Amino acid sequence: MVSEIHTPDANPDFKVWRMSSLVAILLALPLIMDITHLTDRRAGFMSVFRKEPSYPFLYQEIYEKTSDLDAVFMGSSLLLVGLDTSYLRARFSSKLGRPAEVITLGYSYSGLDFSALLLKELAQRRKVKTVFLLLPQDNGVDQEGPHQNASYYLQYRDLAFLSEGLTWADRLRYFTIAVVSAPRQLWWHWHHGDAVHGTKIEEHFGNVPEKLGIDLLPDSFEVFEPEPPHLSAEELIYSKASPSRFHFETRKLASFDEVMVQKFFKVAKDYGIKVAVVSVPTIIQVRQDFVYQRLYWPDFLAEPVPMIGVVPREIFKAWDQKSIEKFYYGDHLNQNGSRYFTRAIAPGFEKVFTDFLGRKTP
Amino acid sequence: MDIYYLIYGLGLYLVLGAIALRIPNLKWRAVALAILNVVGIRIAFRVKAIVLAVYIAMLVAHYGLMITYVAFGAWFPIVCIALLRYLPASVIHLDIPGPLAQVMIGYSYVAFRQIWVTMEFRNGQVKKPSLAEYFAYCLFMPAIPVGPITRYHEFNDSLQKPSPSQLTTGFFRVTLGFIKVYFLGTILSRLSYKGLFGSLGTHGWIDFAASAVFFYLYLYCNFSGFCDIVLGISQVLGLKSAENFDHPFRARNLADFWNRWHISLSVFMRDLVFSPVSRFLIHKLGMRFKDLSIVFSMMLIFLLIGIWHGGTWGYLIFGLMHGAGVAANYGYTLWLRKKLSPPQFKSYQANHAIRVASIALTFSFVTLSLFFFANSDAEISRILHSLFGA
Repeated sequence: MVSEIHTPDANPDFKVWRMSSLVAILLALPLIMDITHLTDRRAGFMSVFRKEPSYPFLYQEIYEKTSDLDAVFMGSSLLLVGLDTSYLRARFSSKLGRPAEVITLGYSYSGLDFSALLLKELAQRRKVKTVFLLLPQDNGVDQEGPHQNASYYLQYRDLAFLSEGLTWADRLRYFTIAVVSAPRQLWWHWHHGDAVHGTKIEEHFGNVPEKLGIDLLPDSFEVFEPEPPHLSAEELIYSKASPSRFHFETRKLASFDEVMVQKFFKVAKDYGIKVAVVSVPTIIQVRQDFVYQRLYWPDFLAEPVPMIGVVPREIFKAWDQKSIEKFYYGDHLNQNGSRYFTRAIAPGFEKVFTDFLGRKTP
Repeated sequence: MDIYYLIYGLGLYLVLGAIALRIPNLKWRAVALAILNVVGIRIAFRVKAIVLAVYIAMLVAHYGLMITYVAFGAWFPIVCIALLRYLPASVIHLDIPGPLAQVMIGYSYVAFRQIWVTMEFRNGQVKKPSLAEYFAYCLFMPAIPVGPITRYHEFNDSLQKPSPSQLTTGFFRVTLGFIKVYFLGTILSRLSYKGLFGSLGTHGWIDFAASAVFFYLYLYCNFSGFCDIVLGISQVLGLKSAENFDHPFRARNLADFWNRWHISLSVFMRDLVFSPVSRFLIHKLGMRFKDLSIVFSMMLIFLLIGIWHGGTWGYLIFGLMHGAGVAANYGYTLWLRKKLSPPQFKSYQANHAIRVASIALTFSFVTLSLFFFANSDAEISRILHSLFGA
């Protein structure tokens, strides 16, 4: 009989029913926790790996603040570190004639599913007017699965939203993540529920190294703040009049990514949020004569979607490789690069922003 | 290890292994299993061809040495381990930072098996193995990553005359192993040091205690789970693999713990290091120094176990802690035997309260020692800093 295995470790008192019961309890734990409210978002966002300090900021913006948002920039670390949000906030404020509410909700790793979830959670709590979204843009690198940190923040209640439209294999992946991460979330819920209140969230969301995590601090950092060449909004926004400035790949998205992009735009539509797609150049793209986009999004989504980007060569052509490296940490723009790139692309953001809000650009 | 490749590789190994072990001729049976091992390692662990070539070259070289100069045969794997730890992977044109050892999956376990076969051949316990038998044993694919370290004669006896396949029991044990490694292990690892101390926020003693206990449980599930997979496959194939765990959480002292945890390593160390070294010392120093010789031999084997796990201070401290713990237990037992009459000693051993306290103490000691095992030197320093402040 199976229940009578003759091994030192399994016999004499190992019982199949014990292991089966344990597995059954663990499988049901996310549901039990959801029903009994034994977990919360705070615990999920605060328990993320310490080298990713943007999560407390995400939590604060989504679950604690209540004011309306004029513009939200969303996407992976390329966008998180690539944009100077305070500069854009100042520009948008001057357009609105009042302080604009502008934030960047960024995170490490590709995460279309995370973007969709964040937008849903945000839109349920705060009025969001416009979103500038970074979609997958690296050649050949699609996400094809749940976000790397899903095990920290994913809860049972998210499964229905995230799983809709996915294959059974992908649904199972989400369920598995919810199951294996449930005991840890429970621990955080019980043990750290109060401790995280003391975290000075915004103090941990300052410069680029802090956004990316302490291990990415370079040995030395040289401030390098030249002004970028002036580009007009027309040069920064895709239009059929100048199609060669943008390059669209024709390779099909992975089915997981397809579902998540559509999910994101559906949430936006449901809440009346206007969305534009943005491109951020990586260091290997600095000599390109076009703005790279993974797909021609208006066709894919069957709706008009403004696409904004800087032709990298136009802003980097004046610089040799050594100078260009002063704009980057590895693949990502650094503080210098973020300042430089944001000033270059700002007219494009400004134009789309004012168009979205129904105001004419002067 | 990629679970999909592992399942695919092990599944293929099971099916083809079952066919191979039905070959009536021993010679061809061993050849088939040897080939299957090499192919299986390539598939299940995605070992690069160049790495596999190095593996095979090292095994062939050792086999040649063993059958010609058996006295050197036991040293060759030790030299190889040392070389693999210090030679960079770039020597075989691999574009990977770090030493060669990190790409030679499971070589340290292969080395143990190389030493077993050498010693048994040298001691005349077994006749000279054929190259195929040697490869079938040393490279037994399921046992490559974490053992167990089965003795050569036990494995080879079963290769010569495979036991009837225990299909249901074997498959159940494989399933149990997968549940332990990939389900329970994953859950527990998220509650251990990296999962708790690796996250944002402040961490204190409660997190430390939880991390420490959950790491111990994680290590047990992960390690014993892999061994369950190996043993289950062996049961299906009718081959002999050594049991490696026997309810380690019930150990009432450290000597008892090592008889229940990684048993095959304990047996290896006892038979091939402890016994000859302690005998040699007693012979040289005389019976007056018997206890000292035994304590020295104990410390030596645990120091070796520490170093074998890796060249960091953490592993060294782990080994020394266990050496000191086993030696202290030995001294305490001697002291008790002197103090108590045999019936009193027997009653002491049978006392329920003492038993519970001993188990709790052993569990706590092992849990604490694993702190040095689980974390890199930098992490140890970071965690201690967060516990004790600046």
